[in-house]
Amino acid sequence: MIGRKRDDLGKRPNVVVVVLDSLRRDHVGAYGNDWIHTPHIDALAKESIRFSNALPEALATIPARRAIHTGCRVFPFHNHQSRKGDSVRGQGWAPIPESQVTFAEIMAKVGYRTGLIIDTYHQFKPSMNFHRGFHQFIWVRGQEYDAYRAEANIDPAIVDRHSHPSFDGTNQKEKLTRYLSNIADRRYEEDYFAPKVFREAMKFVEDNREDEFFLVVDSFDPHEPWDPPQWYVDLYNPGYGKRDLIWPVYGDTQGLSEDDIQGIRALYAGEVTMTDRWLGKFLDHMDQLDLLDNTLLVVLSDHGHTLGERGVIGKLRTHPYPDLLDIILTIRLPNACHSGEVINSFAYDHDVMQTVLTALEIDVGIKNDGQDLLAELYGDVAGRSWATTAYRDRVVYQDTEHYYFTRLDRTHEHLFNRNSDPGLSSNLAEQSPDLCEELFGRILSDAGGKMPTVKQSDLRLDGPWFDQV
Amino acid sequence: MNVVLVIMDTLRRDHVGCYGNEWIQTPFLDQFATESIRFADAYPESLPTIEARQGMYTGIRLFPFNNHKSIKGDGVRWGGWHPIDDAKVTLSEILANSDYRTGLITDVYHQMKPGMNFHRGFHQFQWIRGQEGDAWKSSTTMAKRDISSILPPSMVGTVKERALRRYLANVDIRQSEEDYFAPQVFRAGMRFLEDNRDDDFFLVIDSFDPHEPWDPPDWYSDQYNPGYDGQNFIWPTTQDSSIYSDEETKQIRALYAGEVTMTDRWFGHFMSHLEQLGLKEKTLVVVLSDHGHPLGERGAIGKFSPYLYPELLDIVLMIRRPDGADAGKVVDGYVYDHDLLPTILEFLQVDAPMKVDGVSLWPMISGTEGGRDYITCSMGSHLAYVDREYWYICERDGSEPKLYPMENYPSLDVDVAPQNPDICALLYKRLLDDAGGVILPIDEESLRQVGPWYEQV
Repeated sequence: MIGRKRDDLGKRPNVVVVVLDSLRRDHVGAYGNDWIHTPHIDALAKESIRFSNALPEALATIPARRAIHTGCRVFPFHNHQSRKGDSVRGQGWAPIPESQVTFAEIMAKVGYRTGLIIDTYHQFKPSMNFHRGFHQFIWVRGQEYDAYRAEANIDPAIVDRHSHPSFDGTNQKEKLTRYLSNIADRRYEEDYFAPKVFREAMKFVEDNREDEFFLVVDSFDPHEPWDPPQWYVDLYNPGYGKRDLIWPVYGDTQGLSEDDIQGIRALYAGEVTMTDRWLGKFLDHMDQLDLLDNTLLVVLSDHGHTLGERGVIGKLRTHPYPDLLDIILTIRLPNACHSGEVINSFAYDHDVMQTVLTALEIDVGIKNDGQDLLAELYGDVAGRSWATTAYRDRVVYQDTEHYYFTRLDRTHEHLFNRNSDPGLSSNLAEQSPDLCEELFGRILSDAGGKMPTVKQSDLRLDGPWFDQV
Repeated sequence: MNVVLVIMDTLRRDHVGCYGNEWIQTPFLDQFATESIRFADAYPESLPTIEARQGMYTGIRLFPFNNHKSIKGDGVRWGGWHPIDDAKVTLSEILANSDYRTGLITDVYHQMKPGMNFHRGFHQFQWIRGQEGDAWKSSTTMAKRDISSILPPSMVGTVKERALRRYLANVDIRQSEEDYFAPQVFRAGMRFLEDNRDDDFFLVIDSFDPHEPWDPPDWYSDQYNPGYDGQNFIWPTTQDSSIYSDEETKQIRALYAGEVTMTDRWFGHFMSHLEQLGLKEKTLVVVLSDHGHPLGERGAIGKFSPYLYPELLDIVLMIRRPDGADAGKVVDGYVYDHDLLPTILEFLQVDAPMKVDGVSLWPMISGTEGGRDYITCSMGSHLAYVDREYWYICERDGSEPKLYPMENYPSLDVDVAPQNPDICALLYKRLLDDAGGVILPIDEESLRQVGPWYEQV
């Protein structure tokens, strides 16, 4: 390959990274969906370089944020330590290690004005530190189970309206009660979460338009609870007026009727469209302020969400299939250079930082694990031909032909041939032990030769006082 | 039964009426004192802000910071300035486990910095954004504003100017008194009461006011320095207070006094609401400050490590029992902030799941015990020891001792250390004993994170 000259991106463009939580790749028009309205992401994709095979290196929310914020892989979860004050416990679900340097710290160091706007409340739990390096941060309160408002005033009848027999034996009602109390005083669309987050982003760019800025907009939407205003639900399921199951419990779908699942899908689709619309308003505002063409803009999701496929719903580590793993990733260069190009090699979330730093010719001598995703545009290198993604005690290997996943201890193996079986329904693991061995070997090489052994007890702290209130 | 713990940052003991001040209006704290047990000799076991909160929240002494570990993303570096150790249990965790509804309302933004975890154990917490250097609004919007009326000439072009501009950006949107910080914090406290009045609750209201910047509405500062038309140095930190003229210094004190009065007034609104909701007779209310603030007594305005004098160390502590028993009682005897945890737990008859260093104050209140013989505490690179005879200050290794006879309290203007090396040695030994026998040096390096990327942005 002959190396091409890199594009002149102008003098120190702004950088905006938009993270959309739980946005499934196959639920976006630009990625082939034909029933959900995502006109703004679609238009942006046309002006961007679109990555058709982007993946997180590890799930879920917090591990993915660590990768995005540091460029370092979280897998293989060495030295995992859970923290008090957070009931979520999984490999990699921990603050950014003090030894790592963050994207924001680097950008601040080289003179950018850094800002974080976020409603992804996990990043502000006790001991979390994802706001390191930001000159300004705005935390929009109240998402999901955020410890924000008093539950005391919520009428149990309202909770019952959104409950389902499948909640029995879980703490889903308790979580719903908290969520419903968090949102009790909202009234207009602009009070919903994605709107609030992108409105804050608009304020940020107004305030800092004369600086070179690095802005991370991290929207929890379209993560559940899925409760967009009715007009979004009506787009997809006009008969589903009750908006019952805004937050289905994770697990199998046995207790849910086909109508329930259609309703859930409509709620999710509505939340996707609402999020897309407010992202569009933000981009329009960037344009109005004459900033868009002097900005490198990255939009990505952190993971998908299983919506009834294979009889399950939620983010289940036992079901690490494409509906959960596949993410979107688009990079709009200043002046929309290379607009419309599509890169098919595998790209990770932890590549974003190095890609931006390379594009901006920033080198502060800090090593990370990411690769420059634009290198192949300029003929410098070929992209990745395979990728590994970890989710707690499961790890997935994929290339264009194979889809393989296993527990970290190499039990519970699944192997699929993507060409002959695109739906990944026939597990070939038992009949192909050699291939499994080979693919597991590649996972092992990504883990640096040694797979982590994580015991349940490693996920808890010593003593009886670990439980989150 | 409910518990409300009100922390007022930087409230000097000698600036409160019920503690003897004659010129500052604190009618609500004074009224509260008549209904409460008032501690005449309360001290923080360590300071400043973060250190003191650790003692209050865990009942365990942080002094003498031998296990100090700074974390990234926080530009403040003092011994002990770091999150609560995960091995410790907090008061909120204990009470949440005993089915209290727990709430934290605070504008003390240090507790929200990266890696901090003071919201552990709270079912609800609310951060009022924008105090002091909080990374909230865009200081870019203030880059060109003329701030000469509030920025001392000596601070032009310094970090201080940047910090002040950030603060001004943070408060730029406020319009009326209710938008000021103490009002916002106590208003949120009132809403918490309304929401949770049917539960047993534990509420912490942690107000950064009257910490600087001192910029209460005019009607508060005008009370104390009417007719002043010079510059308003709302954030006057300096180790050389001679940079301010007498008139300017008087105004600085008026600004602080005004902020004290504003904070007192909103505390009063909160207490009135507690009563209105019928909760006052079901609620144990504790009010304390975390430390004081030198206002030029010895050349420093602000909290600087060598100046561990009464104006910095003396704190306010009052406890109002739900039934009003022991109202107006004054308890002499040395007590600490970290005594609150066992005191509150004993009152609620909840057992602590761990051993704590603090002691319940109820035996002292009933007169069955006399309290401690002396106090030890630390801030930065200095230690302090206080008893009825002497006030002693030294560096961590015992060097640079200062020894003041208490008959000169609070001015402490006679240093008798040179004539009394034996007493100094004895008092340092007591400091060492309280420290468990070892006081490790805290050098600049141990206050920094390894590597070149520690600097706070």
